[in-house]
Amino acid sequence: MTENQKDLLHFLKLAAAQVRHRMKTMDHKDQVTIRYLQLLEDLIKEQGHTYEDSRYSASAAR
Amino acid sequence: MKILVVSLLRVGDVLMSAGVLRDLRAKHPEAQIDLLVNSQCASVAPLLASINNVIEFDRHGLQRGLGEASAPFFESYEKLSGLLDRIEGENYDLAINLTQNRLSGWLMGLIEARERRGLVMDNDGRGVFGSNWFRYMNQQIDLESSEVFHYNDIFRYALGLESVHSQQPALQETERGRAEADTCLAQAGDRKIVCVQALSSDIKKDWGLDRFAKMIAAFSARHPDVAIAILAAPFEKEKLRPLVSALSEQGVPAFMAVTSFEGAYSLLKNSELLISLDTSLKHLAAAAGTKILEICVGSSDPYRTGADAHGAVIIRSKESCAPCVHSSPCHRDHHACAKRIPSEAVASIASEVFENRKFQLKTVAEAFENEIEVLRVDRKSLGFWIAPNVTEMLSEAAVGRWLDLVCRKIWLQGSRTALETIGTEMMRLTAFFRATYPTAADYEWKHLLEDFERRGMEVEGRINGFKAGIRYLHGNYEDANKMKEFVRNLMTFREKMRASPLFASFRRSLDAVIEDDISPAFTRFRHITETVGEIETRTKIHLRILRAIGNQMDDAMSAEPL
Repeated sequence: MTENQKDLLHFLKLAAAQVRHRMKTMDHKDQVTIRYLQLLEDLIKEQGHTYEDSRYSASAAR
Repeated sequence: MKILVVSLLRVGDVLMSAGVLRDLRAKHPEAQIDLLVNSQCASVAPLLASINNVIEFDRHGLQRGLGEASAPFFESYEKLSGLLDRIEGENYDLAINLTQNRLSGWLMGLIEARERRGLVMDNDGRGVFGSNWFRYMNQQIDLESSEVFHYNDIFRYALGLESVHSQQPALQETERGRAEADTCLAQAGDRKIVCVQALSSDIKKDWGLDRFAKMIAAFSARHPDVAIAILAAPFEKEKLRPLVSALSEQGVPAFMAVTSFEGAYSLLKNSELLISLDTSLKHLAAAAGTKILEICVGSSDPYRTGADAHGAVIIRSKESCAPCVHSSPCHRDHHACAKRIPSEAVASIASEVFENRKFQLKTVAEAFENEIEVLRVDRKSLGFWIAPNVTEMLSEAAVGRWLDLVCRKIWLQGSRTALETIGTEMMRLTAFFRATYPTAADYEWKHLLEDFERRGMEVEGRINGFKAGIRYLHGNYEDANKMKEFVRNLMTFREKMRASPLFASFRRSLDAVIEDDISPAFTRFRHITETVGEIETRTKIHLRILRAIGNQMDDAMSAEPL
């Protein structure tokens, strides 16, 4: 991961945390924003990874 | 109706699901069916007859924009937003996710559709699946590979396509493909063609060009009238040139067939057999109706993504570390699993497959049984993809595995369907057992089935005990000692399950609740209640099937003269 990507990832995490902080009053637009931010985060994290590396597992997530 | 199918994997995965897309088209002949794929998979779009539009997801472009200092800060966000606006504009009625990674889950969360099936991530990053089968697909990542369903079957069942039997080909030929194939066919002259795909996308899945050379020479000695087409994508040409030269020096009529996917598909349609590693070419051959011999090396997992073609033959190395995980390189100092597959064995098996000698395949497999395992794909007997070992003898483990797969299918389909299909499943299983183990005596079957039934009744008894325990725990789940005691009993039960192949898969469900010491007490109690309920239902299905097969076999025995 490049320095730029590290910075951007940090920024996206902060942004996601800010939206989450408003969770109680979260409207549809905020929910969409959260998903956008998470998707961008995953795109950075998955750079150079194979599909299997980033496979979602509900049991592992729990 | 408008349907969007999301498949953000590799070319092989997209081609593998071509049969599922064909069945989806047959079920919805008037629908607009669009496919969202990674940009590098767009080259196969002309082959996909069932799809109206292919939408490209520029994953690399988006990742570049998120990493390069020169890229404008919001470039990737705007690109993504533009793509989603385009998808939004279509107003899809149904969005289907055939991918199981988080990225596709987030993307599905952003796609507005009336109905969504497959992994969708909610705001807290939890997966929602919209179908028992997609949930199962997610859970089975950790399962022993021979106990699982093929991905195509999971997709078919999840989308209600199991009763669709389309006669249409899964892929379509193109003019460009035919022209490329004609050039190759001219090189073969009047000879029959056997295609060989000797390179894969992952070095771990390669068998080695030297071994391929030896195998092809041995095969050619048996079939001198056959032309060998060494398949090559344009970027593989230089790597494969030494193989073709070595074969030509030995007098083997081999030539290099440099083609696109379209060309390879047309060439395969005119070939007798494909000998391939775990590559997308095997899925092209399956759609083309060409015989297939697959060599599984490294991380190749035939049970989930093997060639989806009845009669395809798969060779697996018996090296203990295979199959290994995809993401890490081989940890051995030599590629042990590839080394263990003898060239002579592959040549002999290829010869048997080429000649359609089903019964001699077993003899050849037995001769090399210390090194390899030979599986034969059976798509017809049980109604879903299975690959029994051709040398398999009647054993508790083997029969238990088939019974458990069928029972699990009935359970995943839901209880209403279970009642309707139990008779059909019983008839299929009985016929399959008789055909797979023809030498097994009736008393052996009787003994085996009675033993399974006895164990099933034991499980039933234990479950009744757990149900009483749950009623007691209902008011006391906050009491850590009582919860611990209940979980300890579940652990003892799990150990008993481990010993029985028929109920071995129950332990997976138990693992999740036993090892969960993070969830709050009520959540854990709820998980325990659900798991006990699941085991109770599955045991009932097991017992019904066992009794039905037992009765069927008894009837057959009494009808046969002594």
